[in-house]
Amino acid sequence: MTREQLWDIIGDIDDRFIAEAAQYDPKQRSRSPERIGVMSKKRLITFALAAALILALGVTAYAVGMGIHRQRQAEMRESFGMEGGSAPAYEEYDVPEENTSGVTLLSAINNGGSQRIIVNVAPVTRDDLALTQHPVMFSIDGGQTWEQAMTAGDENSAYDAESQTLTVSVMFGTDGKQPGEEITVLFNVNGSLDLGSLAVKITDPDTRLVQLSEPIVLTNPVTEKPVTLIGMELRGNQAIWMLETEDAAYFYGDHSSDSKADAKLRQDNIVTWINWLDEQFRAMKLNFTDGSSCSFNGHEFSDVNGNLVSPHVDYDRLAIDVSQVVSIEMNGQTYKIR
Amino acid sequence: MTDTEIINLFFERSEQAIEELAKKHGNAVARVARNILGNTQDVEECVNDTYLGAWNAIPPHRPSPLRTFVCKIARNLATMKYHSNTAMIRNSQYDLALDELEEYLADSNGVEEAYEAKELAEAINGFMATLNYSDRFIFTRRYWYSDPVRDIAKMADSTPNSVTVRLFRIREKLRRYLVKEGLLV
Repeated sequence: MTREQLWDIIGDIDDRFIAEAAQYDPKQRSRSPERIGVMSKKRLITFALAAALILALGVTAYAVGMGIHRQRQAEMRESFGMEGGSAPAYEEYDVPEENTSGVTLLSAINNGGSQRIIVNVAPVTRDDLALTQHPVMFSIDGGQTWEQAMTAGDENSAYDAESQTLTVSVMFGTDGKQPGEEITVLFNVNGSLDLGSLAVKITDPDTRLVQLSEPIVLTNPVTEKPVTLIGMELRGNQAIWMLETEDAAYFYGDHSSDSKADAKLRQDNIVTWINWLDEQFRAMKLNFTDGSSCSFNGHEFSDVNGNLVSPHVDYDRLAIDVSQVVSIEMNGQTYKIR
Repeated sequence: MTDTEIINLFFERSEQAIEELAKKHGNAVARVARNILGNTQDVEECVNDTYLGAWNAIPPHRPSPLRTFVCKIARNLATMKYHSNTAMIRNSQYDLALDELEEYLADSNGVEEAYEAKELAEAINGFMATLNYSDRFIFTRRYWYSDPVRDIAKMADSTPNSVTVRLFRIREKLRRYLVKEGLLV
């Protein structure tokens, strides 16, 4: 092995180690190495949405006479927009009436590509929370690798000081796993307090492939060529749009051999394209059978296959019943779906 | 200004993005470049190229953390520049740090060539996860950032002698770890 190869190998060490060494922080001495988890963009966005919903809606005070597990379930139902409706992908579990220590499974939702579970964890002390906002760690590979479980809101909304219970959200990929398959999730607090394991069955995803009564033809703001929305896959908590465009390779292909001038121009055009896409998503609504509707937020990322670009777009709420969607509204026009 | 605000400026294609990036992370970037290139004019060029690299990469990337992202660009550019300049004397921290590691990992009876560099990189990540924070900090600062031992000692509130001894022990540990993993004979 040459010195240069060795240098490159060291150059490939995990970003979290590089990041944590940016500044010496002796507080981290007490933490396990996995504490410095780097949250993926997808997890970050979805979590941020959950946290924002919980905080923004000002959940009802359920505390009186209700154990912390039921209290949290009721709050989640309200904040996820489940009250008065249902989202089949969202599953709630029986929980003990009284407060308990350890890990208690509250609810789960399968996104089609990932499984989210929401659990109560106890005991978590204020000292644990002082170290980090997300002190609970989880592992789905028997403890070989650990990730941070996202605290479901801030300390005021997700932490119950009396029972030392913290509500957290755990998300992991379900590729190659079938609904009903059991996954063992291990938990600890701040890399030290072992909380044992929880057996979780992969829940059923709620997905629906929809076609529009007529394709929606838009105009690419960069090339002025048509961009055709041919349909979408509705999932419990996300929609995947299906856009046909001749320009897919230009925006998403490999252009590493571009000259500096071409690379700059392409970057500028990508910005225009991405911002334009987000505008289109925000201009669209899903209409339900009961007359209510749901909007979209910006997209997370796109899958690309030939001329088909499939952006993953979040709803303005965490879960919907995909079977109840009857039409799509965009720019003042309503398109029936089938 | 927060990293998110700086990244938003990149997305808006505002040249203020570069100014703010330089203000917030310029020192870290220059330090990485200087450790590899020494105190030469190349450092300034490398820093500017790093900003250009960030400009070209954001968007579509939305890096987090931003400092790590730009330091990685700077490290790659500085290494390339170092190798392209054959007149450069082998005395930078880059060479000194490599000398230390080479003694343990790159000798003739060292790492099995059959293993891909990727596997070795993964093994080193696994090894680092076994270290406590302080040792990981020292290892990363020395071999990724190429910081001089005296600077690491200052950062870690320690002495150069103590850091040198700890680096020696960490390298020994790494060697044992790679042998155990079957990557070193």
